[in-house]
Amino acid sequence: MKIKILIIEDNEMNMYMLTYLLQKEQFDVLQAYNGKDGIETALAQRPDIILLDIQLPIMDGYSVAEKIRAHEILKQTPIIAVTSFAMPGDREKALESGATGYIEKPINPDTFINQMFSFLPAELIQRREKPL
Amino acid sequence: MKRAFKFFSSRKRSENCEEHYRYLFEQNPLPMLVYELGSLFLLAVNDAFTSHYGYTKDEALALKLPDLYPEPEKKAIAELTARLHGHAYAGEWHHIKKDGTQITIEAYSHQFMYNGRAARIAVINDITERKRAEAELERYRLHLEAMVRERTAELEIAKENAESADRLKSAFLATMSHELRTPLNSIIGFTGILLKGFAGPLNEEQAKQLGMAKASAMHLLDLVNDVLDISKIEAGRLVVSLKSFDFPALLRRVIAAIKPQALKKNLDLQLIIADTVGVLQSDERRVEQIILNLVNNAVKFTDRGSVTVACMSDGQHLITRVMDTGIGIRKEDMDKLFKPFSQVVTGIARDHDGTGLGLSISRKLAEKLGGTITVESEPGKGSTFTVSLPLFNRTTLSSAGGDIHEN
Repeated sequence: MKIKILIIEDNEMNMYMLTYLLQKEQFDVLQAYNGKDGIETALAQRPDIILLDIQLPIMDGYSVAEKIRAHEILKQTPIIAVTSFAMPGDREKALESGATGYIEKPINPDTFINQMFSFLPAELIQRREKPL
Repeated sequence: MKRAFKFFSSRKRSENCEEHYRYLFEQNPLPMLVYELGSLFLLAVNDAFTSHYGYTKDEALALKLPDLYPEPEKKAIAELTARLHGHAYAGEWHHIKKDGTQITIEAYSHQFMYNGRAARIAVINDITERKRAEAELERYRLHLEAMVRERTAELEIAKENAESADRLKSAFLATMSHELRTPLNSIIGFTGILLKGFAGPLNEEQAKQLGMAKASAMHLLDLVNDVLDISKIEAGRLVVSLKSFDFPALLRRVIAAIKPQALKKNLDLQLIIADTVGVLQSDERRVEQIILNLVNNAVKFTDRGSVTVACMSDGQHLITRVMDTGIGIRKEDMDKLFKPFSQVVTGIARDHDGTGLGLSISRKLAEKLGGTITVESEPGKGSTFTVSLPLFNRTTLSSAGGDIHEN
């Protein structure tokens, strides 16, 4: 079974870019354009990984991460914060709110997938190498 | 006291004494007068009185006490004299001189027998000048108070304006950092994906041109980040987060990141770390930014030879030297070096692309972290940049103005 990744991102072009990149790399992609939608999709579809933009309208990424973590069935789901914040403390803030990892924009298509997997548990790394 | 008592003890001396008292009365520098109780006629005036009031002695002795007073006070003074006993301070009154000038006076008086008549002797102090000065002072005080009130109101408005400008500046910075980066991230990301060949193979020329577009976009992003950094520093909104970290590891990371550039230019990139160097308590990310900037500059401006990074500790400070054998800096350019937007030789800015903001940001960051950056250089021989950072940062580094919330 392919690894299922949920992207929560409000910017149309970023969404397209990440989706394109991940599909090219043989991942299943789920999309949500805001935090509320993202949480609902996560609960319904149980993705293996969540890519979370921090600069979201209405509910920011930090709150979204906290809300996702509040659900028992999503407690273990890796959340990777993707953000163009370049301020000291942002990384800490993302990790405190429940994110597993933190990748800064602009993303580098050559290294993005490896960056993402550096935060993921061995089980997912194995599934990627030997897709069932 | 004893002497005085003796003085009054013989009659002869008593006569002598009366003469003395007359003298004291006549020659007293303050105007004095004697008036009869009841009739209120003046019975005696001294020389100071006649010269001060302009009356001759005879003219004065034809006056009654109330005659000296302006109309509204005549009745009151007559009534007052009836109530005075023994020593008295009569308070402040007005007198009219012979020439009609009105003066303000205060009078001290004492009751006594004058040639067998019940009388009072009064010493007059002309306080016109003093009152005028006091009034002037009061006027100044009120004026000053009004001015202070006015100025306070002005400052209040200025403060409000400054605060609203400050809020605007913060909002502007926050918006800019998000709005400028988002499309750039998109350009960089998509050119990267195209270059990866995901959307189909590229021919050599397409790959070359797309590579240039990507490099330009990266450069623009650096510029945007630097301008935002400078703006944040200038706005006093740069927040540092302090924690302890492994400084040698940071240096090795920086060297690893720059190594490819150094190799490309055939430069010898050396790292020397003294045994005393270990943990630094500072803002890791900002320190890395400073060191990266200096080493990057050194490689950028050196065409042959070496770049050496040497680090030592003196127990208080961590001192890192970045030495190169590059083009060096002329003495007259040294001052410009740390000013924003001043890559010293603008002509070669294309060879040595950069924003020209790096050093100015680095110095300001170092200062914010309680440290310094200095430079020594000889044109044609090379430059040495020295960063000194305190090993331990205390609470003095609290932020001025708070963080920027970039959303």
